Amino acid sequence: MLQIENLHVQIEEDGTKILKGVNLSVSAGEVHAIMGPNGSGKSTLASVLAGRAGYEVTDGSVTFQGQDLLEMEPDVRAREGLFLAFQYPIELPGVSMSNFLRQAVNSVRAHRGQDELSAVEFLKMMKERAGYVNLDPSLKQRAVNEGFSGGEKKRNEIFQLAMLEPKLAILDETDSGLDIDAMRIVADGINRLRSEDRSFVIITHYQRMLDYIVPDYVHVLVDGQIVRSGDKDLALELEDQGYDWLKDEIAEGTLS
Amino acid sequence: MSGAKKNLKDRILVAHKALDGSVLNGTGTALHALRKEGIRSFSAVGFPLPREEAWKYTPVTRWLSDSYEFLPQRIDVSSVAEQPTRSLEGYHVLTLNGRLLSEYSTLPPDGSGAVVCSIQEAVQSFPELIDRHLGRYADHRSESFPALNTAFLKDGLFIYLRTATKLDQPLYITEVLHEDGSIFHQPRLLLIADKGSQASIVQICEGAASATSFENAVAEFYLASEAVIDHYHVFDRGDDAQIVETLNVYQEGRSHFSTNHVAFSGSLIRSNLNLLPDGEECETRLFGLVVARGKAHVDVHSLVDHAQPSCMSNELYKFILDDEATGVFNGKVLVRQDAQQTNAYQTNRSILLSSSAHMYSKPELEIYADDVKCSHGATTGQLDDEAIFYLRSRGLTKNHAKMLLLEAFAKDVLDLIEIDPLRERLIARLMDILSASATNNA
Ligand SMILES: Nc1ncnc2c1ncn2[C@@H]1O[C@H](COP(=O)(O)OP(=O)(O)O)[C@@H](O)[C@H]1O
Ligand SMILES: [Mg+2]
Repeated sequence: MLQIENLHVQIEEDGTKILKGVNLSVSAGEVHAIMGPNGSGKSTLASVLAGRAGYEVTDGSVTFQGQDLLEMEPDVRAREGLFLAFQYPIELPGVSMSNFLRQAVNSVRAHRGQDELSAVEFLKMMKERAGYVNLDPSLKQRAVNEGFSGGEKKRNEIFQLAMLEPKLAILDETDSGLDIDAMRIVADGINRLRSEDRSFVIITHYQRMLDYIVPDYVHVLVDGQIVRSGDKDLALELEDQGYDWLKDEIAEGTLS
Repeated sequence: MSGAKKNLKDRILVAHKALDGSVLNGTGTALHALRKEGIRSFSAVGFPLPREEAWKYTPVTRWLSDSYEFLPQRIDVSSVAEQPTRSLEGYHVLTLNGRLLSEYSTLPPDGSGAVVCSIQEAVQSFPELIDRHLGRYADHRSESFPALNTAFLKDGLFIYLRTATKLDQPLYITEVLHEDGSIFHQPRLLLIADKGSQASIVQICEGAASATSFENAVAEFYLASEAVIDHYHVFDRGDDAQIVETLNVYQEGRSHFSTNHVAFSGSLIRSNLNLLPDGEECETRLFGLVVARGKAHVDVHSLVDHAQPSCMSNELYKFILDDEATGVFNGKVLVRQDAQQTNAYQTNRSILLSSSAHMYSKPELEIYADDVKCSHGATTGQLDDEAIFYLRSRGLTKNHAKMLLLEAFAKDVLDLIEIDPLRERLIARLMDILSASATNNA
């Protein structure tokens, strides 16, 4: 599904190096968690995968379903089946949720050779999928994210994920800022969307999300490199000990 | 050369002399006196000079040529095809080069309380109203364009809503131009809304105008107390059209006036909007959407002059500028000393789609009363890259994403149009323009 090899990324504007040789391989149906301290480059990785401007790949490669991902425009990536749930979803005043989503869903469907949904089918689908994350149906009449609470914005990201049915979903700190009930709702929604041919990369700062969404692999990103990979127990270890022991090991050179 | 466009000015004075003794005659002494005032002040002030503050960004003589005809042309009326606006539900007034064509119009019936006729007819039928209102609001004594319009005043449209008349359907005025050569069009509109009357008035200026012609339109609206007038004005005469329009609105107490100006095409559009709420508890709303491409130049000059207490005004103007288009917004809100408890708001927002497009925004708030609520704001910028990226990350192409954002931006104004079929028609036209624009920039 996704192969990241030796990925080096710097900020275009000032050349600051953020990712320093990331390797990651995600197969169909797998759930990978990426953890790491603030500023370690997690969002940068997500942004580069989604095609946000402002980053320069100086080395390495990313292959998505056998194609060179980095060569694709952001919208082509989305139509090919990549989805990013934003850490900070943006507000779009005046752009109605239903108008925006209908156009998005239909452009993704057209790319996959599926028929356009009729207005009735679309509304039915919206109603059903909004229910996955307990999103108030009235939010659909409103402008995208405008006046949404923090929790509603995060649930709206998962709702969009449910509508667009991607092959690979990257979730950037979807759990942060949520209270425990809201996090449960989001986690339930995500679990419901897991399937054999859909993969997830879940970026999180805390392990508590992983109590609800049990990952197949856990990776720790520190200072632009994956310094350790393991199974779900690694997340618990981090929860107990924090990231400092890993940082110390790096400093001592015991980790490469 | 002692003034702007001296040749043209001389030709105008000669033409006026010739016409005033012949074609312009037979329209009563009231019009004759007004024309005299008009030509006298035009002769004194001439065309605006670029050094005049109000015309700084719009050196209007650049768009004027030396070879116009000022005489209303004789036109084969049957050449006016059925207008597309006809399908909109409402009353329909058709004018051709500023002249009312009754036989092609569907006017409000007798007994509706609404009178629609030519100004010439009104001079005969309503001499007191003409005497009291025509030429009282637009300033033909010191402003070039109203002076010039008044100097050749003959035809024109007269709308009179008797006391408490409530027009049940919108009144569409479709203003068709027929051009054989270079014409200096000077349409004139007088609207008198008596006490408590209500109507929606829609002026539609569509159909291509030629680069060699020019339009100098003047409209005067009088709203008696408690009158409610919703006015709409659509400018879409193609990329060559050149128009200076002057709208003066005089409001008595507790009257409500709103105007929504939508400009979709034109080489030059200059709007002079002067609103004078001259009674207590008036409401005045001024909305506008400008979409300008190519080398289009659109300049909106507005003045809301609060002279009386307890009034409110709200102005929202949005510009979308592409290619080498220029936008100018000069909105003045004046709150005089007696105008306590005024609420006045003004917003101008502009989006530049190209680095060669320019916007000059100059909001002016002048307040001499102390117990008032006023605010104004102006922003000019590009489409938000983050917003575009968000939409693209959901599978929309870059152009598609931009169109969706521009549609949202523009609908802020278009959604305020309360006539459903008119709003839908304008939104459809907007989407056509935006998609053409997106394709060109792809
Ligand atoms: N567009 C950008 N411009 C400048 N600095 C950036 C940009 N994106 C990220 N950074 C910097 O890169 C580092 C990693 O940031 P980020 O990827 O957001 O980390 P994380 O998501 O792990 O907290 C931080 O020091 C951040 O300030
Ligand atoms: Mg982050």
